[in-house]
Amino acid sequence: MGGEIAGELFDELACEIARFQAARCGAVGRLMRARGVDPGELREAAWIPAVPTDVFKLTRVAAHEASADEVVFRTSGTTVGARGSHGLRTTATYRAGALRFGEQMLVPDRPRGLRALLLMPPPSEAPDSSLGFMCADFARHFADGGRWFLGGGRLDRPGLAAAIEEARRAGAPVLLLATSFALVYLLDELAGAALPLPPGSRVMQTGGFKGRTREVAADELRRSLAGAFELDPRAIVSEYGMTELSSQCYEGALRGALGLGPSLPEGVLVAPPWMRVSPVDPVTLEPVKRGEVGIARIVDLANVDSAVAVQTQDQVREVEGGFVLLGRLPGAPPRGCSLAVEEILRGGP
Amino acid sequence: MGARERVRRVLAAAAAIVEPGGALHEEALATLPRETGWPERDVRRALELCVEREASEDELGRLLASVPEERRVHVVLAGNVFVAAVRAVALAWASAPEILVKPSRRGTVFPRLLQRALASIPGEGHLTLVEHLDVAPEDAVHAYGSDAALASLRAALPPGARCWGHGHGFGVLAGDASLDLDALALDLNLLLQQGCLSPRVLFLIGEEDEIRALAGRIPALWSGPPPGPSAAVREYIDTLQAAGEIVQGPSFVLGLQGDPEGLLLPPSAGMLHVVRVSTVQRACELIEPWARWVTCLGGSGGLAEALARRLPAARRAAPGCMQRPPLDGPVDLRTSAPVPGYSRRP
Repeated sequence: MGGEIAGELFDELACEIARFQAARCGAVGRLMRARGVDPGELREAAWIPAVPTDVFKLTRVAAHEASADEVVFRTSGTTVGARGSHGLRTTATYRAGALRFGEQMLVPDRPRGLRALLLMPPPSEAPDSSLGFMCADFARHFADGGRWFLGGGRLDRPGLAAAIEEARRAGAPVLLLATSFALVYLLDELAGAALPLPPGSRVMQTGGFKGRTREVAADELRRSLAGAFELDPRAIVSEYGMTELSSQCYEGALRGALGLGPSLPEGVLVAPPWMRVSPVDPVTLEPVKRGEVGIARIVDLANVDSAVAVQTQDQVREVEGGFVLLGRLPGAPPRGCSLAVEEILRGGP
Repeated sequence: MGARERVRRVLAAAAAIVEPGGALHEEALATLPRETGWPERDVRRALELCVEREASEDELGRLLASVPEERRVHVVLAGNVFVAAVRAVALAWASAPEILVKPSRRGTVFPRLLQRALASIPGEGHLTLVEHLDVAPEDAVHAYGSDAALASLRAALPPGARCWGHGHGFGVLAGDASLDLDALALDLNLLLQQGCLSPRVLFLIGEEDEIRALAGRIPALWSGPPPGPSAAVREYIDTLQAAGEIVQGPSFVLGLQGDPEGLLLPPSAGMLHVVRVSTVQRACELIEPWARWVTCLGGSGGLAEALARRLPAARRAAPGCMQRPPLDGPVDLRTSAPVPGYSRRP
């Protein structure tokens, strides 16, 4: 899935980056030694030991000193009592990749006069959020600079409605960039009322709920959003990314609907050419058979200064044209009142 | 028959089960290994060291004071450690003259043995085992199990019924390079790390070399089965291989990290997460987010004392005694605080 850079070149680049990281990044080097992997012998991206996402919460994962960080992105979750952090020596690679692929998947038709409306905390409130950083860039490069409607923990619904109305009068399409929980909150506030977006508009939604609002199944959320915004459901584009990575995946249905890419069903995520998402067995970490569910092992060539291969606990299945996301791997069933890590983690800390 | 006498009767019944050579003891040794999957050696050791059969008057007084008077108490047992039934029944009878006990489907042998032992002890009160709960609004429920199971149970109770739940928890040990390994072996092996007091995290303060040397000796102390192959075990091992180090014994996995950013919990029995800290303060910071799940703090010394101040609801235990708390109330003191509508006995 992904990896449309010619296979051999992708492997070559990934292994070269992994060798660099093994020498410079303590976490990558330790993992390779523990697995008995000789970096000099790496020939395929699949051979690179993948660093679990929790490692970013426990120790620094970087090939450079902290003093050289241009920015440190942090996770919002605190599953082990600490937020995961990803220090970038430069944001140039991150920006270039995010803009290039974001443009292809969100605004491939280059809509004129696009206005960006953002339902997430602005960078001034969440300066370490990679999502806020990326969306601010999208607003600047794809649209008019953007306006933020979630601040101080409050959703400015009247302000959002006014901005939408303004765009409608101007005949300008809207790019609504939002977290899933903010959208659910908005739907709850609308209580069934419509908030139609101008023709040509689209919505990028991302992220889980993390207990901040009620959870809504992806299909139900898409239907509700399409109804409330009076949009084609294919104009609701899910983004899949994480702080530990430098690249993002998107649903490909919008591109297909615009006739600018293969026609893909809703829910099918597409990785950028410099990224491979492979479902692997959660116990053996071996690739699963095509069509079977595994946990996502991600090789992201843009993760130059941290870990080029990252192991998530997100369940995915490879399908024609991409992959589908199936939620987090459930933990072992709890037994009695003894420790059940998964259940404890669901409750905090 | 008063509450104190009812509790003493439970202890007498427990003594009958653990009496070497007794018929009930023999039956326990023959049947519990099959039900629990534990080797007979571990069943025998749990019977000998973890089943409460005596308590001082002072301890009994505290146990009685830990529960309010009720007309009838339903007890919902968990299936992780069979020995827990004794204290659960004692607490219920300390609270009410009538009790109904619902064993876990995975743990029916020991409650049945206790029922039969009680029948042979003079005094009033029959231990009634039930398959289904039938709780009246004026009843109380003492429930042991997963947090999710307790939440489901509470939601299903009739209005007015009081529920005293004992959910997930884990034990923490603290010490330095002079840690008593024999005591640690006892804390680890009793109940095969399956109790809610069982140690899963060990904080050690000291120099890197001496802590690493100590940690290297711990896997050999474990006498239980290895952690099963699971995604969570795999993830833990991979994470520690990158963020710290893994020390593996024939059937034990130890993760070692020095002054980490956060605290990782090992997901299975047969595992211990060892954290070397440079300062007492660092250990306190690391445990803070997990404090509400810590049921027991074992160990001695300055580090243990400092952690105890951060964990006021955790039981304190001397080295080697984490699985053998005195019979002075519930094992899990985190939930001994009265819930609304559940007043303590004065």
